[in-house]
Amino acid sequence: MRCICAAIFFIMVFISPVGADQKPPPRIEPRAVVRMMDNHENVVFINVLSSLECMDIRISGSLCIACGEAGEKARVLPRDRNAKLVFYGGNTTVEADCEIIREAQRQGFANLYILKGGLTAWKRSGYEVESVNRIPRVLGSALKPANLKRWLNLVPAALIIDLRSPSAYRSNHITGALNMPLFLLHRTYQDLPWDRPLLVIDADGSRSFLAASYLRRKGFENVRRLEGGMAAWQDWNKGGAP
Amino acid sequence: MRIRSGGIGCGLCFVAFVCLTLGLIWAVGTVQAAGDPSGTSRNCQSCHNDALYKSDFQASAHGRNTCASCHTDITGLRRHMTGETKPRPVNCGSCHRDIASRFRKDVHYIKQNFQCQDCHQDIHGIRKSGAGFKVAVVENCSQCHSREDYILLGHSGALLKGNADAAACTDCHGLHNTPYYDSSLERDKAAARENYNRRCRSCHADVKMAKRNRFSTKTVASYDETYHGKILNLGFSQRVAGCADCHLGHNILPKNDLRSAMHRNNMKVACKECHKGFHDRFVSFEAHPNPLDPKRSPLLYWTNVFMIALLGGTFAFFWLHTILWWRRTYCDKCCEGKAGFIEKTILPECREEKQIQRFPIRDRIMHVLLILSFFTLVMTGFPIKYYDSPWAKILINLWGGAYRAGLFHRIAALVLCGLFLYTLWLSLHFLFPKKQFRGSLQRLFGPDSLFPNFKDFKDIIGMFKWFFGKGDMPKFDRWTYWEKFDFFAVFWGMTAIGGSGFMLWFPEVFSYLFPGWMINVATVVHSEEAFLAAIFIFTVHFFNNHFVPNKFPLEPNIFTGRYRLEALWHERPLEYERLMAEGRLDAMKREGPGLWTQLFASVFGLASLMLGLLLTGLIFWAALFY
Repeated sequence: MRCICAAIFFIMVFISPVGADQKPPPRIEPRAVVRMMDNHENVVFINVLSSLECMDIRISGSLCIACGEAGEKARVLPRDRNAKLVFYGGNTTVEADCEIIREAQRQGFANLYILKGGLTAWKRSGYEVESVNRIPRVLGSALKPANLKRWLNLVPAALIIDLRSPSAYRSNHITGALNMPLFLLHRTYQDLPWDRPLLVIDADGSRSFLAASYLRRKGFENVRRLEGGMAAWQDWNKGGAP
Repeated sequence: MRIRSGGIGCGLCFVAFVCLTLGLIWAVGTVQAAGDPSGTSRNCQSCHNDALYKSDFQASAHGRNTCASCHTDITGLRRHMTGETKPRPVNCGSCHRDIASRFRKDVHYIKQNFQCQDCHQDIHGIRKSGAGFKVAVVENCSQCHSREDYILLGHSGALLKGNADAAACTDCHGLHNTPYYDSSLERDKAAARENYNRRCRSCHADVKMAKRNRFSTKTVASYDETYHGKILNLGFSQRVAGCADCHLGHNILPKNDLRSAMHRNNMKVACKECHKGFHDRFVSFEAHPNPLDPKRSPLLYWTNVFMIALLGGTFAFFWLHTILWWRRTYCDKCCEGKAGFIEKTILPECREEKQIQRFPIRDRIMHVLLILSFFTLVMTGFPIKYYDSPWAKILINLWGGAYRAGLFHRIAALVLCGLFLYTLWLSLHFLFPKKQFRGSLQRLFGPDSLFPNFKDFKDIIGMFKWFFGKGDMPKFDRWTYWEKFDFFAVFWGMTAIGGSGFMLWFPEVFSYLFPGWMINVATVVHSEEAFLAAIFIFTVHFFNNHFVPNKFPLEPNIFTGRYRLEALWHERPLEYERLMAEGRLDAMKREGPGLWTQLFASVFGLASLMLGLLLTGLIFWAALFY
């Protein structure tokens, strides 16, 4: 009996997923963060988008740690465990299950926040941002979901690149699409075929413009993006084959 | 020798000095080339020697500027030439401050971190577009934004054919200040709706532009008269359809085009954004109705004609009736004044303090509820009817906005419906007491019934004769003809205003019974009938029951439930005689009302009258001037 109890205790303490019982960090308005900064509190911004996006534009002094890069960049987190970490993404609020947030919880950071509305809300509020290595935008038309099938028939050599996270890709994707998460694009773009037309797809169409510009700057001549991303495609293709 | 050698030495010094000076000038000039290329742009152009940086730049909008005017960070030529330093992005905002300031709110900056040069990629050759500005805008925007949206389905057909009136992207979305709207936020959706409605209106309500391009400004005016338009114009755009909600942004093709958002099949999609569970015929609702066009909407036209005739007829008769009554009463007073004071005959029993019971407590409570619900309906409905009057927004804000006002409107409507149904039940109970059908006809046309009978028509004629001094005032029984009209007006009113009100409340449900354009008919009926009811009550009913000189300023018996025996004898002699003959008079005698009852009757009654008069003034002000 004692052994069984000890085994259960062991399972509960050590086997259960670390941080699974952690509360999601509270969401915080940009104005409230600025107030903390005005009070000289140690606020550290963490941009959880890809490094391409983070270097393109970020809140001044932010750390760039993409959600999917938590393992390799965990050491970048500040040493001061009392620092107030403010995580933010692009147009939407970061989900609490982002790996770097869980890693920060695991490391014992007590003051974690998620910036409500992300970088967009920050910019809308008129606060400053910085561009460390801006990617000049290359103009190019987008493909509407309604025209996707026709375009794929016209351009059978086209390669669809799904920029979403591997988990999002696994849950659903367009047949034949290649998963190349945006946070890895600067490392993996060279693996792409230079001679094939590319179609980049993200979750909602807000991040593919930068990716397409980046690829065009790198020499890929025929790069298009799907307007509205996977969400628009699914909306248009309700009930249809992926 | 010394001289010669000295001469040679001086010559060498001179040559060295000249070379040094020239070298210095060259060096300074070269450095300046980066700092001030206007005078020495040739130095920049010696490397940047494309036509773009030479002739194109000279002819561009910035041609009178220098290279360093924009590239302010290039100060060390050598480091620039060797690539040690790279020029930073140009800060266009140092000159174009206003644009830069606006652009910080622009969706392209906020969502995509666009900078000036991303759109103005030909910045070194950029020229003022002049007359071709709109086309240039379209060409530039459509590099990223799907051409089929705007070019194929939108205004640009006319624009690209040379019609400068047609809208370019920036006419609707703004230039350098394209607003960012987060579709997940209600306040953003409302702001977008207001913005795009304003943009559409700026052209479609422009009479001169409409004339030039042969479209009708009535499109805007008629939208303003719908519930969507009124609520939006009152400033509550959260839950009503604006232009772009139905016309789906760029898609403005003719409605018979299968691709058009206005095509019957596609309209269902747009309507479903707000309305759920409707029948297909719901989409025949006219978002731009014209009740004055018999060809387009015959039933709407004839409904409007009928309602105007009803209003005109009712007010013509009763206002004439009121004016003549007033004239006659004052004429009598005038005659009395000339003849000296004449003591009125007073019955011996009228000298008693006793009063006669006229209304039971049930009727009094019903009347108070009726007043409260009626005022609520008027004060929540009329700001929407006269949305453009100055008081409409103030009044609607007093309720806490259009949606709360709508909630109160519906609650008051339910109270009124409850009162109506209860009255119906009481009427049936009166006609068929204890399920007795025998004698119901006598009761229907009897003196205690509110149903009009032949005597009422004789009384009308008699009253008009009295107005003109051709006879005595008719003798009335328990109910006068104008009281019966008040009662039956409610029956008609509840059918018209209640029926149409429920149709407007539940348009989706009613679409299973009627086509969508019946909502337009219901709107006309509800609106006109509301005007009729409010103005009739506040003018005719108020005068007949409270402002007649012998009752002015208030007849409180509907609140106290009783009145003086003398009043019964004067005003309803036939009832008095009947009660005397039947021996029921003594049983109806009561003590005078208590102090609190009198106080309530006076305060509530006078407040209601004053509020009614205030509302009448506001309604006439709005109806005549807005």
